[in-house]
Amino acid sequence: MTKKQLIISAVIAVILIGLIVAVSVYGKSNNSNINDSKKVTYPERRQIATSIGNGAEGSGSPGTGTSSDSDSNSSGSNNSGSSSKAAGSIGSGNLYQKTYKAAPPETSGYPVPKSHHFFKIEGSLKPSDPDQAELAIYIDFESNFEKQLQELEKTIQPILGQDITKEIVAYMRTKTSRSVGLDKWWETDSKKINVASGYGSYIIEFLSWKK
Amino acid sequence: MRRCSIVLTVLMLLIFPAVAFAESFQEAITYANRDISARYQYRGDFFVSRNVNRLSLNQNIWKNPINLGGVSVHALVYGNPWGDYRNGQYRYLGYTRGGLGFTNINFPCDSKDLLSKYIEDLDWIEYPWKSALVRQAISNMGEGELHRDPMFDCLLATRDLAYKGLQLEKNENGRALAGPRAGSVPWEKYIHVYQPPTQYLCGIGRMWNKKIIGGKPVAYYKTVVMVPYNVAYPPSTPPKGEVPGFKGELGGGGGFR
Repeated sequence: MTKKQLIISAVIAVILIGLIVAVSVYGKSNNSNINDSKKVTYPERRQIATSIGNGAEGSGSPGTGTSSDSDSNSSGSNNSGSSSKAAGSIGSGNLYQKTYKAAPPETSGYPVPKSHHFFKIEGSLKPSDPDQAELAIYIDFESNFEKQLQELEKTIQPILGQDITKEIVAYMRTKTSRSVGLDKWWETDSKKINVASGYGSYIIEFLSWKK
Repeated sequence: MRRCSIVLTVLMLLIFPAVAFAESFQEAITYANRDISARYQYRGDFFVSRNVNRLSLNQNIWKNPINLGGVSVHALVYGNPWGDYRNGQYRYLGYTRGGLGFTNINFPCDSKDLLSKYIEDLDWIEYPWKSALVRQAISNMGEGELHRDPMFDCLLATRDLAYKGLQLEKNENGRALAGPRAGSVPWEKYIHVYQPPTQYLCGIGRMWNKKIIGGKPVAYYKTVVMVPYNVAYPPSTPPKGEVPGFKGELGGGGGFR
């Protein structure tokens, strides 16, 4: 244990500690850049719209018609029409749009308000298919929750009655944070209702089917 | 003293890469969350520290990506691999945020249809979260309830990214899974997205097809990879160094190289 040995080991230790600190600081500075990324624009998004538009043009039918499982439902072939429609709209550049076209919510028979605060409201994705909900209302529980609940109440009470409406609204109110998941069913003489919200999600779904 | 300094040096060398890697996993999650918020207008963090069953994100799964035709598929799953074990692969890599099984694309297909048919020739089930057959299949497999994700399911982007992912896959005989008509299928209508794709992170989801066996309909699933946006649409002018959080080679925005 000479002085020389002590100095050498101290120098090595200082260098290694310095390296670790440097890496940590570098990582944090990167993170602070990330935190600034609210200002980030996505230059790629401009490119995406054009490339997808070109790539999707000229599409034919989805081709499920050749499936040997032709005795099962023809979901694929039903898509061909909507597929080519959607492909046409790709050129408009919104990659983040939904590609289905839902029927207007009024077709469900519920008295839908003309203006509302719902996150989204839509009719059936496929009116001829009884598996598809005739009405879907999406509620953002973190934004104007009370207003949306009042509007939902007005919309569903004339069809479902006061008791079930109250139960549904009360159940929705139990979504007090994103970590609360919801999934419950109700039935009336004419309707089947599901209220659900995924863990971590801020959207509550109200779905109604004809019985 | 010499022994002391050697031990000290070795310790430092061991700690150093561990510290460096821990940072990059956290960065990956941060970048992915930022990207998802900006790209899909998703409020808050999509990837959270624990899922519905209090399982945490699995760093080992993330750091051992699956190679799919040269594209690294990093999965951000909660908990550990589980389910049947075949050919050295578990059926599930873990769980999704909501507690559904996160299926492993490397697990051998249950159905042999893809040995003789192209992927677009199977009878894919549209809007699977609405299908009683799919719900039953999921329940039979001991998974939870399948719900549509109002943010990520049915997005136009999924069509092209999934098609490009399917083009990378081959069947057990080495033939391409995607045939000549796969490019015109609206894949987004069939896929339930577990992990939304970002600029650098692959998306992962699952779709189901219907087969009639013994006169009864049976649902088979297929795990689908959606290539990252930078693979499908490489930027013509790399944003490297110009935009904070978007340093191309570091994987800013999506979090992966």
